[in-house]
Amino acid sequence: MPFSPHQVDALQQLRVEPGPESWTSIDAMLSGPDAERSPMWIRLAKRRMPAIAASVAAALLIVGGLYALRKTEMQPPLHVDNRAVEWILSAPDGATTQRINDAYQAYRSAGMIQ
Amino acid sequence: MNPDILKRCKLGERSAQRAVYERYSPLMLGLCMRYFSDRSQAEGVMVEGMFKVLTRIDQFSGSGSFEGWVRRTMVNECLMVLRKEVRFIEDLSEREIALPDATGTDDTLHEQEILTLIQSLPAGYRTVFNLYVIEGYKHREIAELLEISINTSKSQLLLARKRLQEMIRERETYLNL
Repeated sequence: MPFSPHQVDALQQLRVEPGPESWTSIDAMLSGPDAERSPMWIRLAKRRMPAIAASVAAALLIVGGLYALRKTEMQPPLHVDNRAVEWILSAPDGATTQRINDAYQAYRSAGMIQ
Repeated sequence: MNPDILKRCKLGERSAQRAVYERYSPLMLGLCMRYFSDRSQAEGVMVEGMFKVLTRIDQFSGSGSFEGWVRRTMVNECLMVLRKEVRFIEDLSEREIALPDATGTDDTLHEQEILTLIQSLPAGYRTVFNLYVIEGYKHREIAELLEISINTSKSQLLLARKRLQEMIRERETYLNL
């Protein structure tokens, strides 16, 4: 063997101090009413709940932001002036007619035109 | 371990559970770190293992050493994770694995250096090496625990020894420069 019996013994007795969050996790697991019955993946998910919640919140924020941006882009400005013309002219290729229709519908809904 | 603490622990008294955790968690994290190269993974496995120790403490008969029972529970926890992650290579005969000539030991290596060497082994070699050399299991027992053949266990150990000897030799060469 590459190591002496003394070294093997030292390895067996090797101590590494865990972080404080390890006991917090065990304490929380022991406090759970279904602590003994929960499968390991549920306990792991519970332990990582703050991180999972943060990731879900961030993902929702991004999706919501993108949706809001897209919705703003799709809405014609309710002003019959240069901003409406600019909005129509800034349409992506093939979408100009759609924007004219959207603008017409928006002005009509707002009672700005008959 | 104090029998009174164990008795209170069996009753689910949190301060006693904390005392058992405080006493054994550093030793058990040291054990887990021999099986996993990633510290956070080792700590996660230690937490799961200690949870099992504290919730199944009534299964400890009291006839043998409590530390030995905790250690076995922790090794089983490590193996449960490793069985899903590690693929053991096919059997190789001893003749196919040429060991370096130098078979002596290097007493200048401290446990932290040895731990680093063990952690740098591929997971399959590391697992069998730990079970055979450090935990003292026989190849037959390792084969059952890991659901592999006895020959695979033997070849993994030989390959681990070979890799460790190469690394120790490289270290000596580096130190002599």
